[in-house]
Amino acid sequence: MLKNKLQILVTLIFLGFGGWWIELQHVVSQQGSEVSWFENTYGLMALIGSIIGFCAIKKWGGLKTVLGKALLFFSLGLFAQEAGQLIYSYYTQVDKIQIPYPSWGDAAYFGSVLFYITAAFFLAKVVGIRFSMRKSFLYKAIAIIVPLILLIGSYLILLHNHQYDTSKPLTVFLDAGYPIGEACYISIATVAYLLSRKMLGGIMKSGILLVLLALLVQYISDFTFIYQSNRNTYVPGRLDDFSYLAAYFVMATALIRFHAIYRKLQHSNATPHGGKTKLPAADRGEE
Amino acid sequence: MDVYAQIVQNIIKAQEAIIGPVAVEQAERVPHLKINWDKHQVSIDGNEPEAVNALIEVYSELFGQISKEVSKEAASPLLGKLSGDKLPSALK
Repeated sequence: MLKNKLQILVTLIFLGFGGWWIELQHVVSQQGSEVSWFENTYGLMALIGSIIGFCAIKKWGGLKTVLGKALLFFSLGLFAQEAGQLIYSYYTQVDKIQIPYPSWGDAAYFGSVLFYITAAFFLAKVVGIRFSMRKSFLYKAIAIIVPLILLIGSYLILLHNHQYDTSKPLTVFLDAGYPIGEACYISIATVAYLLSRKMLGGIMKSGILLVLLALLVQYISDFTFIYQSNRNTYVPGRLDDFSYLAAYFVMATALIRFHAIYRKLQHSNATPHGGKTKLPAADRGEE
Repeated sequence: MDVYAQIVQNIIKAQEAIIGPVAVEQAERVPHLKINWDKHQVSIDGNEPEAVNALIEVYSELFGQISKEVSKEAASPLLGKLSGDKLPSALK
């Protein structure tokens, strides 16, 4: 995978921010300017990932195809993460105020959740979960039970006994909307994985599994952030920020993978004899 | 257009809806298939069931069994026009 220059660049950026994150752990309790700089800049990984994704969309048919739509919404989700971070940075660094809640940053962050839900929906269509559901009652049950467990679990852990400020309807909406929305995208992704894992193969498998892994890491980050924020234990620059950085990195890697798969297919078309040969076993996901 | 060519056309259309022009490029790798996708014209020069099998095999290199299921679904409205022994094995 690292043969790819884009992948090397993204990996170096990730390692750079990762090294910086490790280095700032000894000053994170002081919440000084170094932590602020880290907080304001590591979203660059999401921005780069989104640009990579936007460039991949056209190769896979753009908005006319299911995969193109999935890639578009994953890219928009990443872009919205960076937008949210930049807006928050504007409040703290330019306006020099505490981040208001709700704010325009929440428009971006909540938008990201909606984009990821839409992307996961299209990805579930790409991996053909309908075929598994037609074949087995067990799979139909999984498609109902998994989302129920995740929604109920999210409610019990993140929303049960939550004190809503009912004088601010938008705040109430976001307080409930973030955990429910995040449970929705991870539910769809989990169902997509469980229902397709026996049928999914070929050269596309690695890209799709990486996207699903990226959604899982994103969910862990989002879940941890809400859990800690609700208990006033969130500290900027700690593990949750590294988790977000990792989520952006894995998603960027997944989107790069779709470029790489496209290139391999173009290469196989250009092989002698009109490309009328099988792809190498490793490229077909048979490693 | 004969039934096999229609099956091929349906399969390419279904795959194109998922992955776009890559689906047509992959179909062009299949021996004995003549494709003019701008006009949605498909013809088979040679053993027709084998050409359909080869097309499905090419797509299964992309998504594995899922591609086979998509192909079967796309071909299903036309399978009634073929007797059992003339069905491409990949569609059984």
